Amino acid sequence: MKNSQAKFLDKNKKNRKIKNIDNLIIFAVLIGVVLYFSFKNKSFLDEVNLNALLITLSIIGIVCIGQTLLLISGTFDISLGSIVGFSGVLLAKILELFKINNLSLFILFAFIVVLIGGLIGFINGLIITKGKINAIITTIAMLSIIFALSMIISKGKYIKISNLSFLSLAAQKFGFVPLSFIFLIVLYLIFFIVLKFTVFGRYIYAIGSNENSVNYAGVNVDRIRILLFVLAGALSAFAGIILSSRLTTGHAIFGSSYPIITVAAGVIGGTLLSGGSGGVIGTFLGITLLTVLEGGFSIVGIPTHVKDIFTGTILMVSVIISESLLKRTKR
Amino acid sequence: MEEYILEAKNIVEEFPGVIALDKVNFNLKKGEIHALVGENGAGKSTLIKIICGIYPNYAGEIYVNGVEKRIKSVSYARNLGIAYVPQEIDLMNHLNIEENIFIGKYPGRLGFINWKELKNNTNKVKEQYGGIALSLENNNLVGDLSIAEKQLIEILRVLALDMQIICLDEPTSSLTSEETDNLFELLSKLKRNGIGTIYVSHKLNEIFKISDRITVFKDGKFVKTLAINETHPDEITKLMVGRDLSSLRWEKRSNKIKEEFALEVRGLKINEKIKEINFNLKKGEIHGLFGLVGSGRTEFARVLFGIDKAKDGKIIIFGKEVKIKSSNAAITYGLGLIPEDRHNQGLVLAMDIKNNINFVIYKMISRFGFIGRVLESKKAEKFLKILNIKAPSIRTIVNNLSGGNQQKIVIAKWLNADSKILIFDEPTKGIDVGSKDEIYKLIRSLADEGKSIIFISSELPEIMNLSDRISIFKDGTIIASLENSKNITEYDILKHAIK
Repeated sequence: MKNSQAKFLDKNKKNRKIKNIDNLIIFAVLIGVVLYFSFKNKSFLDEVNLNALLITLSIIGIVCIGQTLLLISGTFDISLGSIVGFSGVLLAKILELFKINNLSLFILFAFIVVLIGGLIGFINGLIITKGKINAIITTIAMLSIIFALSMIISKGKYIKISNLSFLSLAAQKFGFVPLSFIFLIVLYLIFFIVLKFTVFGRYIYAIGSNENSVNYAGVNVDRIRILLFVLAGALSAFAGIILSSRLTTGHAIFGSSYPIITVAAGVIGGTLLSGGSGGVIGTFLGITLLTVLEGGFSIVGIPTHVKDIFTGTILMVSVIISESLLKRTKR
Repeated sequence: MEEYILEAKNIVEEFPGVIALDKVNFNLKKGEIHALVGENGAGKSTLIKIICGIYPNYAGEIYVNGVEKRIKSVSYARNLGIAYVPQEIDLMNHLNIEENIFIGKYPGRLGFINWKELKNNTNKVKEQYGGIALSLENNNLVGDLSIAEKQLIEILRVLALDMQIICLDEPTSSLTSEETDNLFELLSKLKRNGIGTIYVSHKLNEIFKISDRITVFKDGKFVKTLAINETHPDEITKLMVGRDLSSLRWEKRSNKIKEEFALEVRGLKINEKIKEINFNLKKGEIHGLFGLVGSGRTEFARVLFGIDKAKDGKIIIFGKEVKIKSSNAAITYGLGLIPEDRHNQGLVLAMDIKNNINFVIYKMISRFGFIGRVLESKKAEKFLKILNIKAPSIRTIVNNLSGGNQQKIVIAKWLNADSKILIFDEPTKGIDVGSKDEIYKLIRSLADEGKSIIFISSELPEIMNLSDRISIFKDGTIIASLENSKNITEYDILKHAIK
C-alpha cells in the first residue's frame, strides 16, 4: 500500500510540473523572439512600435478570454470574429446617425453594443444547448449571418468615426502603455480569479472534463454553457469597439481572422481542445507570442503569407505537444 | 470423435484486478445451437468476445475446424468465418439495407460498385431465408428500422458473407415475443445450412426451446456442458447459482428499521415498456432491487433521481408528494445516486478528491461565488478519514485511484450533501473483492445510522447478504417482493427473474 501511495504522489507532482513547464517554455520562446526582433531591428522596442503592439495585443487578447473559457468547457465559438466587426460597424453607424458627440452618450451606446454582443452569444448558446445542435455548425451559421448584417448596415463600406471620445478610446495612453492594455490586464485578472477561486470557475472545468457527471450532481449545465457564450460575445463586442477606434473606421471585415488565432492562442497556452484544462495565463502568453511574431515579421519585412505559414506551424506543433503530454500523464 | 468446427481450450482472460475467465473449455459442432449461460459476471460475454476477436490478449488455444488459430482481431475472426452479433446493434444507420449487408464485400470493379449485382445478391440472400426478410425494401435506410429488423439485417449480413459460426449476445433482450419467434425461425434455418450458433442468454425458457446443448459458467469458471434433452431448467438454475466471497453475512436488522416510509412510489409509468412500478422504502432500510439487464431497474433509479421524467404516477418522499423535475430537485429532496457508470456519471475524473467530494455543495460553502477554501479542504479531509479512502492527499486526481476508492468518493459526495435516501446502482461493479466487502460494510453502517437505501444489483449473493427486503424486477415491473431471511435461497429469487 505504502508503495502505491508513493506512486500516486509522484504522478500528481509530475502532472503539476508539466503544466508549469508548458507555460515556462512559451515564456522562454517569447523572450527569445523579442530579443531576436529587437536585435534585427532597433526600432522594434521603441515607444511607437511598443504602443502599437500593446494595442493590437489588447484587442485580440480580450477576444481570447471568451474563447479560452469556451475551450475549457469543451467547445468554441467561430462567430466571435464576426461579432468584433459587427460591433464596430454598429457603434460607428449609430453615432453617425444620431450625430452623437459627447462622452456619456458614447459610453451608453458602447454599453448597448456590448450587450448586443452578449445577446448574439446568448442565441448561439441557446441553439447549441437547447436545440442540441453542434457548436461548430451553429457558430459558423452565426458567423455568416452577423457578417451579412454588418455588410447591410455598412453597405460594405468603411464607416468613418468622427466622435472624439470613440477615437480616443484606443489613442489614450499613459507613457507608452495604452488604456486598452489596462483593460486587458484587469480583465485577465478578473477571469484568472473567476477560474481559480469561484464555484462558476470550478463548474467550467468540470463541464469540460465530464458534462454528464456535472449534470448528475444537480448542476444546470445548459445555463452555464449559455452564460459562457454570452460572455464570449460581450467581450468580443468590447474588443470590436476598441479595434474600430484604433482604425478610426468600422468595417465588416475587421476581426475576421480572429476565430483561428484565438483558438490557436488558447491551445499554445496549454488549453486542450477536448476541454477540462488550461487557463487564461497560458492564453495570455500564447496570444502575446503570436502578436509579437506578427508585429516582428512585418517590422523585419517578411510578407504576411509567410507569417501565416509560421503561425499555422506553431499551432500544429503546440497541439501535437499538448496531446502527447496529455497521453503521457493520463496513463 | 465428433467433428467440432470450433474448440476453445483452457481459455484465460485477465482484466485489471479480475480474472474474468479461468481455464474454460467450450466447443461447437456444425449445425448446432449451443447456449452459454451463467449469472452476470460469469464470463459468457467475455468468451464470445474472445472467439470473435474483440479481446485478443487471451491465453489458451482456439481450434477452428481442427486447426489451431490465434484470433488476433475482429477482421481475422471474420476471415475465419466467425461473426459476432452484439447486444447493442451497430449498423450504419445512414446506409440502406443492401449497403449494410454487403459492406466490405461490394461487387464491382475498380472501386465502382455494381449496383445491379448488389441488388441481386441482396435479393438472393433474402429469398434464401424468406419469412420477414422478404418484407423489407432493399433501399430502406437501416436507421429507420426497428431493433428486431436491425438484428435481422445483422444476421443476413452474416449469411451474405458465408460465415460458419455466429455468436449472438443476448439477442432477445429487446424483442417482443413475436419478434423472438421470427428470430428463432431464422436460427433454425441457419442450423439447416450447417452454421454453428453460440447463443448467450439469460432466458432459460427460450434456450430450452431452440438449443441443442447448454454450457454453464460460474464466476469465470467452466461448470458443465449438457445435452438439452438430458437436463431441466431447474438443474441449470442450480448450476448457475454462485458461491460468494464476501465475509459479510445477512443479519436481522428489523430493530433498526422504522415503520414510516422514506420513499413511496405508486403507479409509476416511465415508458411503454415500464408501465407500473409500486415500491416503498422504510427509514433505515436496505431495499434490494434485483433484475436482469433491461428489466427496468436502472430506468427506475434514473427517474427517481430526476434524470429522466416519469409519464405518470406518484412519488412521495418523507410523507410529501413531490415532482422530481431535475437532479437538482432530487438532491433538494434528500436523494443521492451512486450511479452504475461511475466514470461518466459519478465523478469528474480529471479533478481532484477535494473537488469531487464537494461538488454538490459548492453553492453552500461559497460566498458571493467564491469557494470557501478552508471549509472545502476540511470537509474533504473529514470524509477521507471517515470512509478510510486510501489516497496520499485530498489533492490527488481521482483518475489515479483504485475502483473501490473512487466509489467511496462518490459515496462521500452524497454524505457531504447530507442525502437521506441513497440509491446504489451496481455499486460493486468492476471493484476488487476486498473493496467490495468494505463497500458492503459501509452501506450497512449507513443504514444503521438512519439512511434509507435502495440497493440495485445483478449479483444475487450481495443482494441476499445486504438487503432487508428484496424486490424483483422483470419486464418493467416489480413482480415479487420478499422479506429477506436466512432461509431464502438464490433459487427463490432467480425463479422470479428468469421465468
